[in-house]
Amino acid sequence: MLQAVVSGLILGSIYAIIAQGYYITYITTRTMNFGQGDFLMLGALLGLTSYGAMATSGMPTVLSILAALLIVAAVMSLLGWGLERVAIRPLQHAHSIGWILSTVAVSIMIRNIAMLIWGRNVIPFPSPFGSEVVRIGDVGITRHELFIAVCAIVIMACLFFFLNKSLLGKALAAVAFNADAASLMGINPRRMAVLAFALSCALAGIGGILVGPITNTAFFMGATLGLKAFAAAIIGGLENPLGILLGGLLLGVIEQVFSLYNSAYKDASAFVLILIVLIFMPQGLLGKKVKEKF
Amino acid sequence: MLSARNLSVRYGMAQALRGVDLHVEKREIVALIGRNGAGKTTLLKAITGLVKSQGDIRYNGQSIGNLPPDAIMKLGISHVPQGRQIFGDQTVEDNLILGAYTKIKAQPKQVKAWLEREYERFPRLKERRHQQAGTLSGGEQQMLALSRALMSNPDFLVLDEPSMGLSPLYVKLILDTIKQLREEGKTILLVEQLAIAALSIADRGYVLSSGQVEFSGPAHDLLHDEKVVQTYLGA
Ligand SMILES: Nc1ncnc2c1ncn2[C@@H]1O[C@H](COP(=O)(O)OP(=O)(O)OP(=O)(O)O)[C@@H](O)[C@H]1O
Ligand SMILES: [Mg+2]
Repeated sequence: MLQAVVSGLILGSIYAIIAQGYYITYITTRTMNFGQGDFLMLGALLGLTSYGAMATSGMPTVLSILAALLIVAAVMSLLGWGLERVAIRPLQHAHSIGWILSTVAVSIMIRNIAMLIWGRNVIPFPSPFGSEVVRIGDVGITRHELFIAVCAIVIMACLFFFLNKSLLGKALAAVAFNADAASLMGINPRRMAVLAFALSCALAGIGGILVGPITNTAFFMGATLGLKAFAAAIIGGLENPLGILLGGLLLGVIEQVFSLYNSAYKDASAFVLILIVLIFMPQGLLGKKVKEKF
Repeated sequence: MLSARNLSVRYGMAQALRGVDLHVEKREIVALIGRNGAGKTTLLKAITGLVKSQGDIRYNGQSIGNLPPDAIMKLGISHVPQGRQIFGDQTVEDNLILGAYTKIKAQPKQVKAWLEREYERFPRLKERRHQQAGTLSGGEQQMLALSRALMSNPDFLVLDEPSMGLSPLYVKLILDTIKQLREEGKTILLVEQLAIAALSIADRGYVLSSGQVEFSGPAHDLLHDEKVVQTYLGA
């Protein structure tokens, strides 16, 4: 049981990282990348390939991992920039929901390109840390899971600092609250939208590298993971990053605990949880922050 | 300093401004008055780039008609929009910092000094600097909106009904502040419903009606023009 909770927390922290990407673009542009899962898949495959290349060239493990993370974050940011220009900006007039279709379309293209490059088969993603298990009391944690936990904490801390304390984070929040007023401060809302999508895709890519060794990688891996992360965002409250973190962790734990009894319940439990939360707390667990405009 | 010629704005089929000519000279206070829906806010938005307009707008000789708001702001024009539009979910101090968004990286020391200057101008803001801006009273929000616009140390201020919803004491405070800003060397374009109060601190005035300039001239003349008084000053 305790074991399930711990691995649930670790899985959940990955959901939370991906889901923060939904949050960031939602608050700045009221749009989201519905292809987040496929960007995650691309991050995982790209990470696997670039890590493999560097490791075989004799770089030390830790250095290759960091380099792979950086490469994936950079490439994904670039893709995020492209996504905003191609799929969001042209379709973002007042009440248009064309962006839902356009982000899905881009993600299908990415899925097919990935299939052409990496093939149709599941590619094993061995953890760079080996499969050794560390025992703490009754609970066994693989080294990779420890790595995920550390990464998740670092990423969340950076993200919260960025959103709440940095000037750029405040500018992002200002655009989210009132884009016209923000532009009167000299903030360029379009540039903020690009930033949000770049950040969102980078988070998906990093999530992909982290989740790869747990689920293994293939061109179709994105759909469920993207959906789960979306569920985490909805459960936590789409407009509250802390809520999203909670939502992700909760989802991960419930999934792992249910799969103790029957692994078929695993995915169903996630969506039962969404339904329950939405019925009793339509705004999500931590809901929306109270805003007063006048 | 600023001139608009033959300025027109349309919202869909509705024409909100038709061929407006207006100019504001350095260190002037120019009042813009007119009934609800006359197009005053639209005119200010056209100047600061928030709505697309036809015609020619020049600031210090440079054509700014096609620039986006963030670029126009960087030239030194600050706009306090109607209804204040502060960032309600951020603190008072963060609102002020955002007002200096374009300056803070290059001149952090200057921005600190300007922040102190604004806190001196409105000590109430200093008391409340860690409070969420959305929980301020209406008058305090108006002070914040004005101070936020001044945080970039602009040369030209565009004010849209800064007295809206304020008690007489606050109205006087705001009007005195506007006069003082002119003493500091700023140029001001002021939209006001309190037409008499606005004209009495202004050098010149424009009366807007259905998107057109109906009267314009020295503020003193407008205050004594029988037609203007009867139609717009409610005397
Ligand atoms: N976004 C918009 N879409 C359509 N029509 C608009 C829009 N904004 C303003 N209008 C119309 O344009 C006209 C001028 O509006 P504007 O806000 O400029 O008036 P105003 O003089 O500032 O009025 P008030 O004194 O009430 O603030 C009005 O008839 C208004 O209904
Ligand atoms: Mg108005």
